[in-house]
Amino acid sequence: MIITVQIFLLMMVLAGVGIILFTRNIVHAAYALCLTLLGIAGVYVLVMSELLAVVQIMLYAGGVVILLAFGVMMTNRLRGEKVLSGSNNKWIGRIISVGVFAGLCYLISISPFQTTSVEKNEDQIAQIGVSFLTDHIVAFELIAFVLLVALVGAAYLAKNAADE
Amino acid sequence: MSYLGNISQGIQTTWKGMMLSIQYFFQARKGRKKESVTEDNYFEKANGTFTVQYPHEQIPVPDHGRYQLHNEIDDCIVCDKCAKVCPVDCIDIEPVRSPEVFGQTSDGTPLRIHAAKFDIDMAKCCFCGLCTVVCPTECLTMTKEFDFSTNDILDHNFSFSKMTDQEIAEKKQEFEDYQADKLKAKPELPAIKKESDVMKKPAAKPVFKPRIPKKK
Amino acid sequence: MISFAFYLAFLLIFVVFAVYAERKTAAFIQNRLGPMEVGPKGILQTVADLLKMLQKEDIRASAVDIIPYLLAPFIVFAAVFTGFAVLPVNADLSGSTITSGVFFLLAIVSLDVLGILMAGWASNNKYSLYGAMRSVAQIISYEVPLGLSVLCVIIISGTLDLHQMSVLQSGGILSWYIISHPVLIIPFFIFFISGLAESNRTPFDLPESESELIGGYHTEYSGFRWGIFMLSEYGMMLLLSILASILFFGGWNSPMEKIANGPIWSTFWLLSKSLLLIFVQMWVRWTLPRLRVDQLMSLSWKYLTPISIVMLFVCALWKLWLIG
Ligand code: SF4
Ligand code: SF4
Repeated sequence: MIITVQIFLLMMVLAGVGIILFTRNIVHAAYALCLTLLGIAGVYVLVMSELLAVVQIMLYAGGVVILLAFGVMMTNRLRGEKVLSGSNNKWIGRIISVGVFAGLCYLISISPFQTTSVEKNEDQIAQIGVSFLTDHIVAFELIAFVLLVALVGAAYLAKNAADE
Repeated sequence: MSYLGNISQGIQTTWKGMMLSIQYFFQARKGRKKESVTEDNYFEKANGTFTVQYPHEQIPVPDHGRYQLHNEIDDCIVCDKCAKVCPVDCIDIEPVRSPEVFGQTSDGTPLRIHAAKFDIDMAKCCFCGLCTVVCPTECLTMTKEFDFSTNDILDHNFSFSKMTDQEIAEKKQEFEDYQADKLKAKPELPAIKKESDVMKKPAAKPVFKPRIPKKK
Repeated sequence: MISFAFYLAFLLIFVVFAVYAERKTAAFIQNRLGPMEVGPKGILQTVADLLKMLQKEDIRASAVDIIPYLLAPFIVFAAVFTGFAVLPVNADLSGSTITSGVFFLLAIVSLDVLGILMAGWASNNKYSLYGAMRSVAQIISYEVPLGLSVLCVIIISGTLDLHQMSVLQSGGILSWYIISHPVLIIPFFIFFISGLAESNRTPFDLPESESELIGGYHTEYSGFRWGIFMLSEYGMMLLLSILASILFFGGWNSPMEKIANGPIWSTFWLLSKSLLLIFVQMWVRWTLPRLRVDQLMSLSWKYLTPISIVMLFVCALWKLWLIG
């Protein structure tokens, strides 16, 4: 049962990635990104990290991707032609992406990830909440502050646009 | 308006609207009585469902309903007045004159013209009723029949003439023969004058009959 | 799993009769009779309509973006219906027991925006795209007050699991949250209003307003695919109503303590509470006119969101001082 789910999720992630890489239609790429993110959320569930999976769905699949698609549709001239992307700067792009890939592989290989399976933790959410407000209080408050600034900034921009 | 004022106004107006519509919802338990427009309280029934299930239930139509037209063809003197007055030209008459008076309408007007064709296209009719007003013999009337929808719009053309094709041909022939005889009898007179002569005959004037409003 | 299957069957039957109920409610509020011909009092009218709809041709305009166009209805339905996975049916059938229950529900349901956007974009029709854009803007905006009002209940109950939440409210009508914790009354109204907006119901039906957008994002769909959109809309109504009855009205608990508590009765209580809320949704639909886009946005951002943040604070204080 688990193995089937694993294969399914793998296929989901790979299909998403493949579509992103090979399609020239940006809107399709955005949808494929969503597919990938959902697959990754599934992987989180398999490693007993349910809250993370839900956060992934809510923020990335439900939020970021939708804004992305929204942005693509809004910014392009809607004149019937398909929204296509070409490829430019091929060599620099290849070098940068290979570099990033290598860097990530290195970081992952030296990180102390827990590799044994964990038991399902019923109190996960409570623990995360408690550690937010104790160990990581500075980061938590800082993020809250940044978000507040972003919100106020957005309101300010919107107000200016309305006045003119 | 202040922020809190907006909120309270929003709540109040929503509440009012919701209460109004739920009243109607519960009033819908009452159906409509099948009362005619002549009933005294006809316009006082604002409550309860207003529509009826039409083909199964009907609201009675008063006898003086102004719907489908009917022509009592035996009383029609084919004077063509209705066709002339009709604003949408939906009455189509083909007259065939007869050499002599061939009958009488029920009010005593002599009949001189056969109606070879008397068609009313109810698809065009705007139910103004002008044709019934001008009709000298009152043979053209509006009836209370309103449900005459058909599948083919051509079926909305109601034909009132009772003459068969053979009869029409016969009558036409008869009149032509009569005309020809007359021409033979008085060859020096041009045919056109002859015709207007026929039209001017005072006997063709319809009898005036005032409309007496019916009292109840 | 059993609860999921139960909800699938229930949803399908529900939609048939909800459409009928919707039409009858509309008719009664407007002094009409509504469907009367098919079956006694017209009760089978939707069945007839359904049969007609299934036989319709699947029309695809030639300029549509075909793969997203075909997928969109199913994504919308899958997103909405996955939300049912965590709903309990009664004390014994608890739905999927994931600890982040209601959070999961809100997350997965927000994915239906993706399907709507897909449908609107792929239809290659400006009305559809307008509808989809409006829908996305609206759903994203109203997710904020919706989530915050759910959070108020979560603060009081201390759990995210909907089954657990229902268990906590057992013991008669007095222990339902909306009565035992009156601070939740305002969050309930916020939840209800945002729920209407989330399911694109009047007065927030701008995405599909028939009169301006000819159906919005599903303008180009016909037959069965259109039916799936309809199914999802009613599924969303049902989902949010069941959620509201679990969060605020005691879920499957009977209003009388110790009376009518068996599994069938609990199912009955849960569903009848939800159906009552659905009736209110229909009643709202035939009473209030549609909002303008700017009114819609200001309602969400200027009124519901600030109020729900304040209510969140009040609920936290209530929890601290009164419950301890
Ligand atoms: S009712 Fe009016 S429109 Fe109809 S046939 Fe008579 S004159 Fe013409
Ligand atoms: S006005 Fe009356 S009498 Fe004259 S042609 Fe018409 S229906 Fe006949």
